[in-house]
Parts: sequence; structure tokens; C-alpha cells
Amino acid sequence: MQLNSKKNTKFSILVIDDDETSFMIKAIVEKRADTEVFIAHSGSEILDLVSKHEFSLVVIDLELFIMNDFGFTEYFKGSDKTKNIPIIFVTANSREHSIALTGEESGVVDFLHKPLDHFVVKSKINMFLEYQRHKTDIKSLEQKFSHFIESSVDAIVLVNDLGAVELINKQAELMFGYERNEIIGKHMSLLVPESHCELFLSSTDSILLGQGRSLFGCHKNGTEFSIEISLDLLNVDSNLLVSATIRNTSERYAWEIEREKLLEKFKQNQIELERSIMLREEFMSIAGHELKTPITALKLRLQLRLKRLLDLSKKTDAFSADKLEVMFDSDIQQVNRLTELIEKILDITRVNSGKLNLKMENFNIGELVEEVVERHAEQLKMAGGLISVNIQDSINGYWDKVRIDQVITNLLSNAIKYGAGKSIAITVSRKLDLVFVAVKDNGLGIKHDDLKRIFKRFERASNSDISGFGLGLYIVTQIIEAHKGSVRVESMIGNGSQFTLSLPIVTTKSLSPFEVYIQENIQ
Amino acid sequence: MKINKLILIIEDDVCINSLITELLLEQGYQTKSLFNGKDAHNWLMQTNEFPQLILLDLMMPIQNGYIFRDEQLKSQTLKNIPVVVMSADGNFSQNQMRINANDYLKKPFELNDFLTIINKYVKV
Repeated sequence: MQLNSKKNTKFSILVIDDDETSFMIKAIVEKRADTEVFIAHSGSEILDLVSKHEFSLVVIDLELFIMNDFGFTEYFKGSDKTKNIPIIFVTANSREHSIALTGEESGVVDFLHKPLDHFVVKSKINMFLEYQRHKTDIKSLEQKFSHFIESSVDAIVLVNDLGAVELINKQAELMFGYERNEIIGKHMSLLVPESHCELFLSSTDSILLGQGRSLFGCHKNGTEFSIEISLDLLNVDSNLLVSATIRNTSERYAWEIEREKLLEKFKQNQIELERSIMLREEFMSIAGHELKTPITALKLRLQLRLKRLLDLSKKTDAFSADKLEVMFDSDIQQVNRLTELIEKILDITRVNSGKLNLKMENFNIGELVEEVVERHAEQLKMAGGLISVNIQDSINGYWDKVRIDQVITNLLSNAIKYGAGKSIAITVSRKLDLVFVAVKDNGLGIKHDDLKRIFKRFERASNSDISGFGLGLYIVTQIIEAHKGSVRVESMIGNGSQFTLSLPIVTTKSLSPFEVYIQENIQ
Repeated sequence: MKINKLILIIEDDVCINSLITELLLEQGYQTKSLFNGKDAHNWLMQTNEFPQLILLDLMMPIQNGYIFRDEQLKSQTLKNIPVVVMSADGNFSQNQMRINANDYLKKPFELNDFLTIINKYVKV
């Protein structure tokens, strides 16, 4: 900051005096273009002049007694406008008496002794004017500096080499919640906690601190907020000050954190989406494979039949009535297989969209298990394994019979598929108001890592290549959970797996809101 | 001298396996039916009569077609037996590269294509 006030400074000297003193002073300052002398002879003239001008120096001849002897100092020191004006008393009294006069006030006071010596008066006047010029320069500089600091949009704090706050602007007051008189002279650590304070003091060059949320400011109310501080060294009158320009970055960081969170969520969604697309594609590929298998068989069968028909001359009995019956039977079986597969695909759509409406009816779950096992007799025989069914308790309850049938069928088919032809055991038991259906095989077993995964959609144990949609256990879980039950699996590689359903035994049919209404109102 | 016309069918679908067997027998071939790669490999390791051709499904339980093929190519005695892959798998070209088979039949296949390919490797 450049300051050039020398040219503009104008001095006015007020002389309250008899003619002797004013004459000499006038003569002394005559050669100075920057100085004007005003002379007052009475109290009213003093008041008039003081109200009109800014005086740099007052010279009072005490012998005048316009106001009583010490009233001048009280008058001048009593007003903001005049209290800093240096006063020179012109006195004929002894030096001792003059020294006593200076005791009671704080402003600049000096004395000239009669008889007046031209050289002494001149040097004293020049000295005081020079002093005033410096004061004006400094005041002007301070004003400009203060204006500069106050007008900043950033919070600015000046800190001395001891870490004490020397100056703080309006923005800083607002940021930290302190009035400047509360904070000036206090340690900077009050605003920026101790741990970071030494960073200010040890800095020797302009630096930016607090990037990446490393700095926190403390508000008077105790809240903390992230800040960035730009530090500059100020050398004022050979005093080293640190100018700290502070920015509250908490809003920016809050926004950044929010943005990061959203980005993370977005990425997560993206991954889930990609995974779901991948699973869907895999499902389509598996569905395609599964559907093509019976079609392959059917097509092969039909083409083989056509070929035989064309070669009829060779084999006359190829289309006898009983052979035709077998043919149609197996065709129908393939069509049934296709229908079943399509049904499964539709089922998963229903389960997914939450349209699993349970139709509760009272039945015996042990009997249902036996029914399902009966139905799988053929498959079991082909797989070569033995099955033991152990119904420990005869349990009746309200469940969705078709869905529970589907669940047990699924678990049994899995046991046959993955059972490697070894024995399968089904147990139905009861504990308090829960029924347990356990299906145990002695087959491949499931890897520990796969245990959770297999209950998800389109997932199958990684150590199997057994065809299927990978939907079975997912549907099982959905159905059992809709019954407020749970499915558990225990498995060891090579030792087979045990799936256990636990279902709450419901002994009364739960009523739909409509049925409740009917019962309560229409009877 | 008896001409070997043995074809090994490795296919987990019982219907398809038996239909192919039926068809090949009718055409005058001999067949051996197995339902997964592991059983097929075990059988090949102890048989006295090597097949002239292997018909291989890909998606099978216990050991799939890919693993079977890898095992086969590792074995000095088995690696030269031609393999025709039969698969309903959608990624036709990708899998063809991976399995490195002599021929590839996409399920459901045409009977005539099937017989033509078989005839390429084993003449009746």
C-alpha cells in the first residue's frame, strides 16, 4: 500500500495569546505554505475557531487567563475532536511549576518559557507539526488499511508473533461469532484450535492451509466448521504479523460430501443394475437352454418318426397301435415339461412382483410330505437312492397347500439332483408352535461361500453344473417368508446338505379384512 | 475283421440320450450312453474298446462338457478321439472357440445334419 499524504497535509495552529507570542509564531510559520495561524483572544473566539477548523497545534499563553489556568487542558482533552491536539503552554512561571502542570493529563503538552527565544519556538513548532504529519499519515494509512480489510468479502484476522489476535474484520466477527473487542488480544487458538495454531506462526511465506478439510474453525457457540486459510506475512513497523484470510468451506464440503455420497450411491446402483442385467441375461440364457432341451428331444423324436415313416418298407411294425400310443405319450410328456418350465418362469415373475397371494387351508403337513415323496417315486428309483420319511408328529395347520407342496417338491428335487444317488431323509417334527421339515441328502454338499448365495435369484452353487433356472430356492424362501417362517441350510462339501423349513403352526384361519367385516357386521 | 463303429454319447438329458441311441443303433452304429463328463472319463480310462466319436453335451451335472474336453485333451490316449459338441447354449461362437471341438451341433438340430456329421467321422 502506497501512501502519499505529505502534499495534502494542511496545518492550522491556534494561538490563544497576547500579541507578542502570536507575532513570533506568525513570523516563524510565514515561510511554510502548509501552515496557517489563527489567533483567539477570548473564550468565544476559541469556541468559534475550534468548531470551524481542525487544529494541529494549540499554543496558549497562560497569562491571558481567559479560562482559568487549567481549564484549557480540560476543555481540549474533553472533546473527541480536540483531545489529540498537542498543546504548548507559554508561561513566565518557573520550570518546576510547569512540570507540575503536566501531571494530570495524558495528551501531549509542552511548555515555552518567557522571554520567548525565536530559535526555541521555531524548533518546537516544527517538531510538533512534523509529529502531527506523521500522525495524520498513520491515521490515513490506518483508515485505508481498515477500509481495505473491512471491505473484504473474506474473514481476515491479523495475528502477531505470539499468536494473539491484533485485528479482525466484520466478516471474521460474523464467521466466529465474536465482537472484535472480545477477541482482540486473545490467542488465535480460540478461533482455530490449538493443534493448528503453530501452523500460522511457523509459516514464513504465503501459504494456503486447510485444503481437504484439515482445518477447523471454532464458533463462539462451540460449533466447528471446516475452513481454508490463506496466510501472508505482514511486516508492520518491524513487527511480524500474520494476516490470515479465512474462508468457511463447510458448506462447500458439505456439498462435496453430499455429492460423494450421491456418487457412491449412484455407483452402487450402477453395479446393482449391471449385476441385475447380467443375472437377467444369464437367466435368459439358462431359460433358453432349459426350453431348448425338451424341444430338442421332441424334434428329434418327430424327425426320427418321419424318417421311419419314409423307410416304412423296411420296418412294417414301427407304427403299430401300441407303439403309436407310446409315441404320443412321450410327446405329451415333452409338452408337459415345456409347460412346467414356462410355468416356472411365470412364477418367478409373480413372486418378484409381490403377487404371492396365499390361500390358507387346513391340512396335515406330514401327509403332504408323503404325497410329494410318492409323486417322486419314479425319479427316486432312477436316481438309485433310498428315501426315509420320518413323521415324528402329526401336525395340522393353516398354510397355502399348493405353495408348501411346491416348496417340499423343490427341496426333494434338489436332494435327488444333488444327492449323487445316495440316501435321502425327510423328517417332520414339532417344537412348541413351530413345525420343522428337514430334507437331508448325502450328496455333493455346498461350498461355504455359496450357502447364502443359493437363496438368491438365478444363483446356483458354483460346484454344480446341474441344469435349472437357479430360481428354486429363491421361490422357496419367498413362499416360506410369506408364511412368516424361515429356511435354513447346513452343508458340508462331500457330506451332503440339509435344508430345514420352520413354519409357524397356525391353528385358526387368519381372516382377510373383508372376512372380518362380514363376521363383525353381518350375522 | 470287425469294424469298430462305437459312438460315445455324453448327454445328461435321458430323453435325448435314449433317442440318439435309438437312432444311431438303427443306423448300424454301436453306442455307449453316459450322463456326465466324470462317468464318461472313468469309462474311457478302463474300456478296451475306444469309441470312434464322442457326442458331447455341455451343460451337465457333476462334470460339464468343457471340463471333460479339457481332461480328454490332456490324455495322450484319448486326445485324438473326435468330439462333436451338441449344445442348446446360446453363445454359439464363443463356446465353439472355448471347447475346441471337431464339430458343433446347435440344439435343436436337424436329423439330416446330425447324421451327415456322424458319417463324417464314423462310416457305417
